[in-house]
Amino acid sequence: MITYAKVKFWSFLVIGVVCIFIGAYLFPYGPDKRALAEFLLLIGGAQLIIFVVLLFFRYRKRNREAAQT
Amino acid sequence: MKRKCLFLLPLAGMILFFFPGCDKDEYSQNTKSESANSLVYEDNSLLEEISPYFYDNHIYRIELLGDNQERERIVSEALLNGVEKNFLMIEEAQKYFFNHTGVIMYSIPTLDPEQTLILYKSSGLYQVSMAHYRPAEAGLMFFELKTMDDRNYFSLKLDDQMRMGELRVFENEKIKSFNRAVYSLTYLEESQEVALKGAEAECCRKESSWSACMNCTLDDCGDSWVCKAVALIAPAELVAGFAASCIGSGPDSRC
Repeated sequence: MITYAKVKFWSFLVIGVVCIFIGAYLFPYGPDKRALAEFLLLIGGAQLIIFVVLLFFRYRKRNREAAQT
Repeated sequence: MKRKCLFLLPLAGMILFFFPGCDKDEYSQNTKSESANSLVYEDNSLLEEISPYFYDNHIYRIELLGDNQERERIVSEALLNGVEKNFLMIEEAQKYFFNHTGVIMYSIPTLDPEQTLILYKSSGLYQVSMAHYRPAEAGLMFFELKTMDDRNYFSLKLDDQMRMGELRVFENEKIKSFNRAVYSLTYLEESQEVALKGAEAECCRKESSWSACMNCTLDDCGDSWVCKAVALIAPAELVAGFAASCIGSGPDSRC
């Protein structure tokens, strides 16, 4: 379970970065691909936000544990 | 035996294919020479310098129509407008090209020497009218153009040196509706062209260089709230994607 959670956690970062890169790559291709590019950027941005939020909770928990010990 | 058949069958097929092909070529060449329009007059210098005056000569090319689809088309347009086929001297139909407009004019003489059928063609639309030409007082000639509902479009007088005078233009609903139809068609084509150009311009990969493509993409990104939001979250990834996409940009690039 811990492994699965770790994979899920890092996948937010990887998928987010990949989606943003592909979205940005398609962006200069004009209005035909603009909708797809914006969709990928949106997905990528959302994944990165989730990653950052999870990262924040993870380090806050670690900081608390470090403070208690 | 089988092997012989294998050779003979394609050979027979080739003979059958080529012989009617030669006949067809000869036939099409004959019909082409019969049906082509012949040149009556041409002055290409008129194309270089277009006079701003209405009265000046604007006809730079005249063709005599051959027996072809173009002639059939104008005759059918005339017949649709109530002209009798026997009244027209179809073999003498001429086509006029003007240097100041894209409108093509066809003239078909009729059995009445004072009348000539005039067809204007623009954007695939035809306007059929009848020109009347008769002697007037003091050696002048009176010319008038009427639509097929016998309403005047314009009239003028010509002297022996072909100088015009007494030009009168009349309100004519048929001509007006023809003008409106041509205008709307032309406007539609122009607006489609503009839209196409706009669409092409929005594709930043068509820009002349990598940096121009990057500038264009960043401008486009500024217009999109999604792109702006992502630029705040992951600017490096976004710019990396733009940069990779702009590699190889140029006028021939695919959009």
